[in-house]
This record gives sequence, structure tokens and C-alpha cells, in this order.
Amino acid sequence: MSTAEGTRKETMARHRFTAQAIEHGKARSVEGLAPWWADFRRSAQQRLVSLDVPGPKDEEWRFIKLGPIVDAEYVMDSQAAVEIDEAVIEKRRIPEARGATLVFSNGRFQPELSNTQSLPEGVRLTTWSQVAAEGGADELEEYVGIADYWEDDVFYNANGANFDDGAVLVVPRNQVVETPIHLLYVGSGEAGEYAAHPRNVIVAGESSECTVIEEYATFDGGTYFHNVVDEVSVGANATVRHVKVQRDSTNARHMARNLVTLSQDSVYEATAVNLGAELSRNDSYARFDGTNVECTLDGLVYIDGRQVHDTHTAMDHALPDSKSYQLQKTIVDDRAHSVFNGKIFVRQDAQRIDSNQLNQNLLLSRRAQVDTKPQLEIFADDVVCSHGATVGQLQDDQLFYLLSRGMEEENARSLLTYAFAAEILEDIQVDSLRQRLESMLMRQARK
Amino acid sequence: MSSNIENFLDRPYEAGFHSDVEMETFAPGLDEETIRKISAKKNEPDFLLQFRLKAYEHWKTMTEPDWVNAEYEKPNFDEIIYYSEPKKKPKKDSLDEVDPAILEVYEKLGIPLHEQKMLQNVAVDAVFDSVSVATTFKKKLKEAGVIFCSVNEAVEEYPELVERYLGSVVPYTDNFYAALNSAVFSDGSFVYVPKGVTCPMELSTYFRINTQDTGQFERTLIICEDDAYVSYLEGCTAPQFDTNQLHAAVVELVALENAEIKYSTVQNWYAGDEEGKGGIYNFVTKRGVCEGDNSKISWSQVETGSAVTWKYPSCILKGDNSVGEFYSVALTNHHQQADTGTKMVHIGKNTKSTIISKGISAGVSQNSYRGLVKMTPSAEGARNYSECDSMLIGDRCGAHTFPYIDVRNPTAQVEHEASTSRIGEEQLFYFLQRGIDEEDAISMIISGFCKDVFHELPMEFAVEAQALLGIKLEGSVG
Repeated sequence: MSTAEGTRKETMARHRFTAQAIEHGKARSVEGLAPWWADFRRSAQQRLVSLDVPGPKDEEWRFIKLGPIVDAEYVMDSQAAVEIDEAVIEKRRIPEARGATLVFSNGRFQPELSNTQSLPEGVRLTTWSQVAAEGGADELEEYVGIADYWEDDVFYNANGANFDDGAVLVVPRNQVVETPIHLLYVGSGEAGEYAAHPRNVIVAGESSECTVIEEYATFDGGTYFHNVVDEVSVGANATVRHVKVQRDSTNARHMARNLVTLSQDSVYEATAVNLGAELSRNDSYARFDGTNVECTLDGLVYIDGRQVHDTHTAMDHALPDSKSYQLQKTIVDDRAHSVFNGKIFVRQDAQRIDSNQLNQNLLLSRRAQVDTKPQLEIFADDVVCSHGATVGQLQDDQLFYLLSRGMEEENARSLLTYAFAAEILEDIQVDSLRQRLESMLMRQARK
Repeated sequence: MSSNIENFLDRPYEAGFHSDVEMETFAPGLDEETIRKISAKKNEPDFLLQFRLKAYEHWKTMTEPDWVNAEYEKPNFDEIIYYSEPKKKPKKDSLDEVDPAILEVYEKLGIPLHEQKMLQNVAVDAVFDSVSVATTFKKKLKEAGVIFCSVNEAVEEYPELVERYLGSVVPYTDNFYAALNSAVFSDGSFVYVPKGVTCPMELSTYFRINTQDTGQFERTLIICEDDAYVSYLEGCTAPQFDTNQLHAAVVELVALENAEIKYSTVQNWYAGDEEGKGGIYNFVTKRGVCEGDNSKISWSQVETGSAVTWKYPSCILKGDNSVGEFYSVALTNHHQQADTGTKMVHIGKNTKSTIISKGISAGVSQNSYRGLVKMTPSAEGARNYSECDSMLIGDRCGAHTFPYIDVRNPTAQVEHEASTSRIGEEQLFYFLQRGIDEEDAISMIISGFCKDVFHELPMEFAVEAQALLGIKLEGSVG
């Protein structure tokens, strides 16, 4: 191979998708970008050059086809701005979070629709676009790229190569934020099929407490691609409750990577509700950097039509004396396809780990499909780790119980389906959100 | 406490000796010529030679898989001796004619080859390296109509059966090691149970690897016709050598309507020394197909040996109401690595499968359960229950679980459970407090942990297996 050819190979991306992500990244404004941020973007672009788009031969991707995401031609989010009325947003607002809401439209921050006045002083709730305009990026450097788990992941790097918006929340030490914080992303296909790469960074200082609701919704059923990265740093003795609701358009695609690091005595409670998108993936990685940590990664997936959803989680117990819990429930109807992979790592010397994982799947249709793989990798002996997985349909005896009490079969079925799912919602402490999700589930179960 | 454990764990490999039997051995390395030579040596019919050659051609196009959860030095396929057999001697009618050196080897292993010493009702087809040297109880089986012989004999005497079934469950294209085996397999056991016959005794093969650097590639084929039943036992030990030896066997089971096959294995090959030097690579493809309705295949295994174990005895449940079972105890110690489990593929209606897997890891070993439960769209009303428990002994070993569950039928029910723990201080205390010493206590706890599997083993095997675990694990837990 000649030298010229060699250099060309090195600078040329291997796939149209990565080439696009690099192009978009290079086309973005560097104004106001702190040096570390520009570096971060550049190195992600460089890594993208050598990365392959994963295929069915990759263990982590074997059950889903990424075609709809990687074969599409995208408009840059910054060129796909869509005006939205307050009326559209109003019905999606969460009353408890009225004074602590950030609204994003097609991945771009909408200051007029946002409001942060109920937050106590000292709590920093802003966005990357504001940080670029107003400064203050340097103190955020250590909270970006907090774990290298997805260092070779195409989508993580596509986000890194592009992100210039998304929420930033910094809660100072000892601050308890009572008001839940609502991050609302609305997507629309009006201005073309765009790709947005929001990055939400949540930093909870020592002994602080906060609740974050991260929501993705649509008002026009458009086609677009959200490629999200969340980074959550939970300080010592801090508590973060993180509810994610993904109700993207059923023509849209959603890819999410949620990185979490947990310091000593911290608590992280996450609930991910995935209902929308034609093709979605929601991955979480939690690293236990301290002892006596409690981590919960719950999830609910309810999909139908030809929806495809994949959840991959990993709980990485690097140090001793922690607890982790996971309850993942999935309902698949019509021709939908759900994939789950839950890894629990217990590293050498990470003794006295108590870890419990359960994955339950409900198949409602003949053509629905579930692939699940709960996975334990344990290198320490003094541990109590268990996992379970079940796949099945509604139980005949439960159905019979309701029928024998005069309930019609259709109602009985939807009630049981609802009850199966509702368990996940019980722990959501924001009442209006929980009620909204419950009625949404009820409606879907009745369909 | 812990010194006790070490003593227990460090018991020497009791079957580790090497006997000098005169052997006829091919030069190491593999090419088409080697395969033709093996085939010619055995006077094989053309279909078999073609089968081997096709497999070899296919094998050349394949790359060695590397997804196993184990680290090992890849075998050098050019250094393996693909054929080795004891020097040819005239056919024997009784054991008196067998080379006394060989008999001595079996004696040391405690295998009662002599009929009078034999466990009642067990016929032994002993494979010494590649060639079957003695088959006992043949006459009695013949009366019942059961064919139990070496694959070589079967090729000569029942070529139509071999042609029909060989490669029907594990095609030569299946995987890298199955392709290699298909190309070079030297011998193995063949069982055919005709319609309506319940095999009058438990069949047993004792495999032995003897010549240094000999790859052992046996092929086992068991066919059970309608309403027939057979129970087959396979036990393995190997002498102590420093270099790794490859063992790539293929086992195929076919159960027709209402037939039942029970296949039990105790594997105690040389696991390498305490530093992880030497030991057998046990890369085996075992699969059974429940072809007929109401048929049943049951795998029971006790895996205690080998440096690296990589095998998944599987069931393809084609017939309606067919049943697949997998009961496994896998014990790893020192530097041993095991990646084992099963695959249950449900195709027929109301098919049922049960998976019980118990993994015990000690020393710096790694023990993985990897399994697949697949419910295809036609598997109406199918059921699966899986339970995978791991026990860790010491804080430098690992236990891993990778269960794959793929469901495409809403009427199918799948349940999977797994847990990982160690022998609790309280459990031990309970025993000690009642005057039972630590060694016995551990042995009892381990027996209890594995009892669901031991229950499934034939009587003689259960005893042997329990003793084996005892030997391998005396004094664990710190």
C-alpha cells in the first residue's frame, strides 16, 4: 500500500454514519468552547474514524438491527430548529417541577419555555449552550467522560464529537433540592430528519439530594434521532433519584448511554420507562467507586407495533460492602421485539456485595419476541448475588380469578397487564408524574 | 482453617501415570493425506472418506472461536498427532488376550474391566487412545438386539446406519472443533437400540488419553428407536503430562418416538498442576435431538477435570411433548477454567426442559455457566425451568453466569434463576458445634449443594462423583 493510500485510510471513516457524525461535529461552532471541551470533541472525532458500526456479530448488539439509525441521512440539529408553542409544552409540564424545568426542542435549549426560579440558591441548573455563551465550563471538566466504559462505542463517541447542548445540574454539598427537576426534550420531524446529541451532566455534591426527571416526547410523530449521553456523579453520602421517560415518536430512534459513578455511602435510584421510538436502546453503566453504596436500576418497557427496544445495564462493584437492585419489566405486543442484558460485575476483593436482579417479560402476541440475558460475573467469594428471568404470558389462574368475579375478559387482561407494569412505577415519588404514567399504561393496556 | 483447605485442595491427581504400551502413531500435523491415511487404516467405505474430506475442506475455511470465557494458549494444530493406536494384535475373545500393560492402567484407575470385578450390569467399551480394545457383555446385549460397539466396527458392520445418522445432529459445518473432529475422528462408541427395546444394562465407555501429544477425537453416536430406552455412562481420566492436550469429541444422540436416552458423564481429566501448567483442553460438541413425539434426552455431567472445559450438551426438542434435561456439576480448582452449560431449543408443542447447574470454583479458577433457552414460534405451550447456582471457595476465583433466553412464542413459559454465594460461616459453625469436623462439614455442604444433580446420576456414578468432589475439594472455605 502506498503512503498516500495509507493516510487516506487513516482519515476516512469506515461508515457513512461515523463520517456524518464527524462532519457534523466539525461543522459545529467552537465559540465559547473551553479548551478541554474542544479537545474532548476532537478526540471523540478521532476515535470515530477507526470505529466500526456494530453488527449482529458483536455480542452487545446481536439481537437488533441498527439500519434505521446508521443508514439514515441526518440534518444537524442546529439546522432543524422548530418553533413550539407554550401550549404544546404546557400539557407536558410536571406541576411539582414548574420552577425547575428545562425545555429542549429538537435537541436545542429553549430559554423562553424554561424556568429555574424555584431552585434554591447555589444550585446550578443550566445547559451546555448557555455554558458556551456565558462561561463556567472549567469546573465541569471533571464530570465529563467520567468512565471509559463506552470508549470504543460509536454512539458514545458520536455524542462526544458533537455535544453542544443538554442539561447541566450541579448541586452543592449538603443541599437538599426538594423540587424535582424536569428536563423535557421534544422532538419534531418538521424541519427534516435531524440527529441531536444531548449530554446531560448531573453532579450531586457531598450529602446533597436531588430528583431529576428526564423526559423525551414528541408532538408530531416525526422521524428524528436522539443520541443521548447522561453522566451522573453522585458524591459521598448524596442521593440522586433519576427517572427517565422515553416517549419519543414511534418513527424516531433513541439511543442513550447513562454513565453513573457512585462515591461512598451514596444512593442512586433510577427508573427508566421506555415506551416510545421505533428503535431505541437504553444502556446504563454504574461504577461503585466507594463502599456502602446503594444502587437501583429499575426499568419498564412497554412496546407494540414493530417497535424494537434494547436495554443493556452493567453494575460494576469495584469495592466492597454495597447493595444493588434491579427490576426490569418488559411487555411486548404485536410484532415488537425487546432485548435485555443485565450485567453484574463483582471485582476481586469487592466482598460483601448484596446484589439482586430480576427481569420479567410478558408476551402479549404471537409475533412478539423477547431476548434476555441476565449475566453475573463474580470474582469475590463473600457475596450474595442472584438473578432471575421469566418470560411468559398472562397467567391463566389469575385471569380465571377475575373472570369468575364477572369481569369481562378484555378488561381482565388489561388489568393484569397494567398490574404487571405498575409495580415499577410505585417507587416514583413525584405524584403527578407517577399518576400520568399510570394512566398512560392503563390506556395502552386497554388498546 | 485455611491450611486445612489447602491440604484438601492439593490432593494429587490420582489417575496421573503414564503407561508404556507400544503404540502405532502417525507423524504430527494435518493435511488431506493424513485424513486419507486414517480412513485407509480403517478400511472405511467411500462415504466416510468423503465426509471426512468435506469436513476438512470446511474446517480450513473456519477460524478458531475465541468467545469462551477462558484464557489459554491456542492449540497448534500442526503439532497434534491425529492418529495413534495400540499395536495391532489379533482379535480377542476374552480379556486374557489384552495387553497386560493396558489392563494394569485400568486397574490403577479402578475401572473393573474384568467381568468378575465388574459392577453388576455394566458393560464397558474401553477406548484406549483411539481404538477400542475390549468390549464386554456384547453377547448379552446382542440377545436383546442392542448394538453396542466401536464406531469402527459399526462402520464395517452397519454402514447404512452410520451413513444415515453420522453428522445428522452435529453437521460437520457446526463449529470449528466439530469440523476438525469430523475430519479426523479415530474411533468412539456406537449404540443402536431397536424399536421397543429397553437396554438391559447401563452402557459405559471409559475414555483414556495416553500417548503424549495425541489429540483425542472420538465420535459417539447413540440412536434410540421408537419406545426404546438406554442409559449411557461416560467416564474420563488422563495421565499427568506437561503439555496441553486437545480433546475435541463429538457426541450425537437421536431419540425417536417415545424413546429415552440418558447420558451421564464424569469427567476427571488431568487439570494441569497447581501453576496451571499442562492439562487437557476439553472442547466437546454434544447434542441430542428429540426427533419423535414424547421422546426424552437427559444429560447429566460431573465436570471436575481438564485445564479448560468448553462444552454445552444440548437438546433439540423437535417432537411434540419431548423433554430435555441438563444436570451439571462443574468444579474448578487451581488454574482450571470451565465454560459450560447447555442449549435447549424448543421446536415441538408442549416441549419441556429443565436445567440444573451447580458451579463450584476454588483456587484461582474461573467457572462459567453459559446457556441458551430458545422458544421458537412453533413451541406452543413449551416450558423451561433453569436454576444455576454458583459457590465460591476462596476470594481469588470467579463464578459467572451467561444465560441467553430467546422467546418467540407467547404461550411458552421460561423461568431462570441463578445465585452466587459461598459456604457461610454460620453453616460451618452449625456443623462444628455439633461435633462434625470441618472437612466433613464442607463435604456435606457441597454434597447438599449438588444433590439435585447427583440424584440424576446412575447409582455407581453418583458414588464415584461424590468421592471425586471430595478428593478435589477437601478442606475449603476460609
